[in-house]
Amino acid sequence: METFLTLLFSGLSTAALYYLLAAGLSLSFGLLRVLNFAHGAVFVWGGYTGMFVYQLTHSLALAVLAGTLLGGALGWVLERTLLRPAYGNIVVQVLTTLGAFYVLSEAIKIPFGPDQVGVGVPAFLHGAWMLRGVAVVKVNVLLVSVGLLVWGLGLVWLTRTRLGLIVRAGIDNPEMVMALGIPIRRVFTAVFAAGAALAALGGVLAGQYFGALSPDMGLQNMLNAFIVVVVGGLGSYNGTAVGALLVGLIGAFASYYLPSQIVGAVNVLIMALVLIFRPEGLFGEKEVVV
Amino acid sequence: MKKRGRLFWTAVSVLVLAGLVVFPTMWAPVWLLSLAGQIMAFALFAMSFDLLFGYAGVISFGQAAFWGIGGYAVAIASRAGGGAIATLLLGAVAGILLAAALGLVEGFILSRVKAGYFAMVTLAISQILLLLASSQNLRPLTGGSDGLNVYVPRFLLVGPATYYLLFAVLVLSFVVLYRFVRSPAGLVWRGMRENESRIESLGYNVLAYKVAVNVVAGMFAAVAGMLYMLVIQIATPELFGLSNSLDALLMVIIGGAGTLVGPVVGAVILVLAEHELSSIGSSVPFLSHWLILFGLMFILIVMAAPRGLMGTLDKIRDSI
Repeated sequence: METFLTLLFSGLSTAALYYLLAAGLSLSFGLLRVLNFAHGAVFVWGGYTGMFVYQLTHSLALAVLAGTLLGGALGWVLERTLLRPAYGNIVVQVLTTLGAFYVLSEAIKIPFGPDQVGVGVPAFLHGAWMLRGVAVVKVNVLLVSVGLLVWGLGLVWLTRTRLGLIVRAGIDNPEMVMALGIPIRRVFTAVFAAGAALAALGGVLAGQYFGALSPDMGLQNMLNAFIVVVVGGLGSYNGTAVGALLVGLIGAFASYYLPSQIVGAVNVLIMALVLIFRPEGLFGEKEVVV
Repeated sequence: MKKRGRLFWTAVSVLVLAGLVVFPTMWAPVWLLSLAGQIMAFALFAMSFDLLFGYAGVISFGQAAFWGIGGYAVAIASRAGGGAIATLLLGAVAGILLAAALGLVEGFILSRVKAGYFAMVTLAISQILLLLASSQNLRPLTGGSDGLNVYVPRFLLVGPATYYLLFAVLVLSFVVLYRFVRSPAGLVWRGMRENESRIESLGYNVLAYKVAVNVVAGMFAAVAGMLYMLVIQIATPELFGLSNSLDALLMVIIGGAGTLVGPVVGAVILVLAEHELSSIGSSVPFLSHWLILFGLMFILIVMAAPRGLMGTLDKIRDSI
């Protein structure tokens, strides 16, 4: 029972991390019909920015703020330069965002080097609480709370605000929204930047979670986020959350019972099964055009 | 006019081919042969990717999976046989079959999902192979993250023997691939690229054609990986890395997608540039980050000249 609960908590925290990355991917896909292959690089940039700011200021709040803002700015620039000229042309967008991933992942090595670096973690996040033999790691509590907070705020934003209404309408029928005189291109930019900001926030928290960062962790985490999005259904808000839970929990239990190399393969296996039996994902719409 | 143009290009290709056959007999330093070998291996790799991307219109970010399978098949076989030719050939056959099997699996996935998804799935598959190749548990087989040395048969180490072997395989593969894309099947692939549902409603079995193009492209990529092993003589997990898939993409896009000659031109440009930049990079620190320049160049070409060098040349010629 103790093992089960410990694994459950650790699975929930990886699920929260995956969720932060996957939410932006899923939302930009739902609205913009863009698969953003630069997402993992934004994640890494957020992580390194957080690490750097924490080193300077020893304030986790400032680190989170700086990382998130930088991610949002990167997203804004990417949308303006790479995506905007090519809406409707999926091939070009997929290729250019992958190119951006490559450039950003290499560029982060200039100031911080190609190897893994340790990340400063504030004292109040060290260690774990023991509750009746179950280890509750403090960093994990932070991750899960941020994940829940982002999910909840996003839900309120989508269902209770005007912008959220426009976004939902845009997912269903962008032409109609444009015909109503709403500048949907500006909404595109905002949504894409927000998604990138979430990825960068995930990067800052990942630094705290692993206690270390390396330039190549972007690719692995981005792939896991893609898997989450595919499992949940591209463009489905709650589907992404369920997908993150599923992949996070299965990963936690698999890494306990199986050799570590197989765990990566387990995720891809889940994705392959979903794609074969339900290509639109567990909660996706039937007709998705990528 | 058109006839004369054709004659001109035939003459140029004959001259280039003859030059490539003759030059090692006159002047063949080791570094030059090794560089030429790398170019030829990458040229075949890029050609295989062109079949997929340029002709069938399939975006894969994991072509390096096949390249790595070919490389490791030869490396493992060469260690098992100590460089004996029989085991090496056996390994090559096994590698090609493995690549075909993976192509089959990916082909079925391709028929289930749309373009963007497929790029993602192939990227994930090559990444898993990278993890497997570098894993500690498989160290006895793959050498873990240190990789495996490749024992090349002695006769290939004599003078330009490896060069001529690679040259022969490359020319042969080019002819085969050229016949492929000019065949009725090649026409269907190009049709799928332009309008898939149209091809389907014409009564073609799109699934079969998709699986076929994946299998063929995968097999040629595996052969390319094998050739690469004969040149650099070490297999490392990085063979499966994203940078190799991206190299193939870049070569095809620089040279011109859907031309078969374009990828060869792209391979020459890119391998030479990498070679030059990495040697200059040791003295000019800025250029040691040449991968960034490549990425930027890639983005610019995709956005500004999506038809690449050969495609743009064609376009200019057509407009004159």
